[in-house]
Amino acid sequence: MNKTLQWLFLIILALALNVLVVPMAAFSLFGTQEGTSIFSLDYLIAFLVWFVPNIIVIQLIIATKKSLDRERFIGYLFIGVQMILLFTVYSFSVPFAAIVWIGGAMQVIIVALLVVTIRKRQPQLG
Amino acid sequence: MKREDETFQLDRDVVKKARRSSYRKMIGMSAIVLFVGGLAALVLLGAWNSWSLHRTLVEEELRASVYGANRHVGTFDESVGPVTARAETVVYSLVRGRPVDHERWTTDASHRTLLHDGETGGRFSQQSGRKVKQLYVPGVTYEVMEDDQPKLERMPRTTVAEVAVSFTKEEPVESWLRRVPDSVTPLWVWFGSQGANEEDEPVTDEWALGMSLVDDAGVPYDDPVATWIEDATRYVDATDDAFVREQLERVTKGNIAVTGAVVTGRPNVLATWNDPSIRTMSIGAVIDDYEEETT
Repeated sequence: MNKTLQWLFLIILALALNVLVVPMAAFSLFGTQEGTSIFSLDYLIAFLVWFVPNIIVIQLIIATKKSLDRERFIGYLFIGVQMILLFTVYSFSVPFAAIVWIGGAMQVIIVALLVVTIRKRQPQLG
Repeated sequence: MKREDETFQLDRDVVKKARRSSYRKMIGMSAIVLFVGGLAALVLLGAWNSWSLHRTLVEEELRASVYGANRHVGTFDESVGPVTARAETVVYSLVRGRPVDHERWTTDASHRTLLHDGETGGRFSQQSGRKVKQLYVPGVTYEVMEDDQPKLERMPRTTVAEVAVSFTKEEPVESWLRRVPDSVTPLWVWFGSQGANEEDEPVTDEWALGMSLVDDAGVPYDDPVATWIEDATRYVDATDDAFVREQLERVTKGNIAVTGAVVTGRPNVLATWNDPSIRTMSIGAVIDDYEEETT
């Protein structure tokens, strides 16, 4: 696949993911008092709500940069599954415990995939 | 087959396989991108629909706080999807704190009440069948001017009637409210009408501009003027309604002259209410009320 197209796909996926993640992170600040320091626990939680689902984007950036087709494809699959989960959370009332367990388990696998992607060497031609 | 041919065939097969696998991956990735992008688009469309629906509802709530003679808007029941967003509620009159004369209001329907002339006078909503209260602008001569005050005499005393009162001339609100009998409850006052001089038609209760003296639950406001100024300011900012702006400037300066009102009371009390300022009475909702009078 053309490299430009790969980056374009990645940008679309990152934007689409953040359409759901950013409002959720903002929503986690709903009860925060005005004037609260940016280094408070509330902001840390909001940052984590935004950052954790975005780990897959980091994995995809590395896989695209290294031209690791297999890892990139797996990354795409995970971003798809993650979107379904986020959409379910966004559109229907899902028990909090279910979000934590399913989302947590998936993030563990995503982090493992990220480690594999970082450690794998870029394939050499010829 | 020669050895070179065999190698060539093997290379061709490997290339074919690799190409097939590459195509499969490309289609798979494109499908995922389309799917994820589609989900995000659904969410964005839903958010956009929700935002524009809320704008409509806020505007409608503000409109109802400046227009409508004792007509109140209930709680909105909303349903928002990626394709459509709609809301519905009921518009009602308050008589002794009781919501009556319900009319359904939805975002996807025309909001103008179609009127039907009754056989024995009065005008009725085609949608709900409720009797529409009519107000007459002071100084304007009407071809037909209905006065329901004589009808009130024939009503049972166990009822409470809602009546729109039109004045003979503009009056300061405070002096008029002082003259209202104790057993009559004023609920709303009329600020006049735009363009009423041009057409020989009374103003119907849904389009009359005025100030409610009670909230949507029927509880009297501590300061109805301040509440009205706040609502009208927001309404003018949102819609740039020139007539409301004109009235707002007048009321803000402290000139609260009114040309009519909506009151409720026992029919016998309303029938004998003699005030030189009253030009006509137009009956709206009538409810049964068997509560014993304390006075």
